[in-house]
Amino acid sequence: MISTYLAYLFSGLAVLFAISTILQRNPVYSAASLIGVMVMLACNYVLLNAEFIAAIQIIVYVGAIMVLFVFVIMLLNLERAKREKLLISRRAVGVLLGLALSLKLAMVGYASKILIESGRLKIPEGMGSTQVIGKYLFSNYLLPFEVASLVLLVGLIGAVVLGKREAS
Amino acid sequence: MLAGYLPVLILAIIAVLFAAVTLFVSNFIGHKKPSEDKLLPYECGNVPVGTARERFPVRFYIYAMLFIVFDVEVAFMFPWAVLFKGLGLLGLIEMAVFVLILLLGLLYVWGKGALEWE
Repeated sequence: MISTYLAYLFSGLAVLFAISTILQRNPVYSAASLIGVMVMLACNYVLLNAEFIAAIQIIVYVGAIMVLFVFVIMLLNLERAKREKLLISRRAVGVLLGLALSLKLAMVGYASKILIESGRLKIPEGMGSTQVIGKYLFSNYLLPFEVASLVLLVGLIGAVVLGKREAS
Repeated sequence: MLAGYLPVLILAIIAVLFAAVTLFVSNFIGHKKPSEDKLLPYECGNVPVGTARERFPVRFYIYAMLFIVFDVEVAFMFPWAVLFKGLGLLGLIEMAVFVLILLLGLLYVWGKGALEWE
């Protein structure tokens, strides 16, 4: 199947971009590589018939989250930090955390595979399309939807508290 | 199913080709006579007053955060707009509550004067 080959292509490119993200010495290049990872993930979501998630991935992650990352790079002036070599102990912590996260993700993937195959977890027909996601979002998952606006509100107030100096 | 994405693929290829060809052609056929003034970083025509690689004021962060918050808000509106006719009055109230909570945030930011550039 062509979609299988495409999935391997996009996943492979995503891994390459991810490696580029952590190997770049200039944090701005790292951020640019991260955009590549996110776009490739969006392509994979399309292959999984999750076109709404793919669009949100581009709009929110590539559009908004990357703006925040680049702003943080600018705010902290990471340009100077790029030449510093990471300590071996810090690298070890990073590798361990990465392995733990990979293991966890693999477990989640395997567990959902078992749940779906045994029929205990049913995925609604057409899940991933904008209509079906909306149907569940505005009925079964109404509370999480409204709580999401509170989470956004907290983020907004937090940014103002951090970024706004009181007039003195 | 995937065939429906053919126009997206074509658009992506044309966009990448357009950028690549523009860069390549202008690099290839353009004359380059660099001078000290030409190699200055471009700052809207002003003479640069220092390096651009310096720490930016934290107040930029508020604008980035405002952008993210309302970007995500609009992202939630896409499925709502698609289903608007089927959701009826309840859907309208649901979205009104959502928007109202964020409107409170906007009023807070506005009231704090965080939208002012001082």
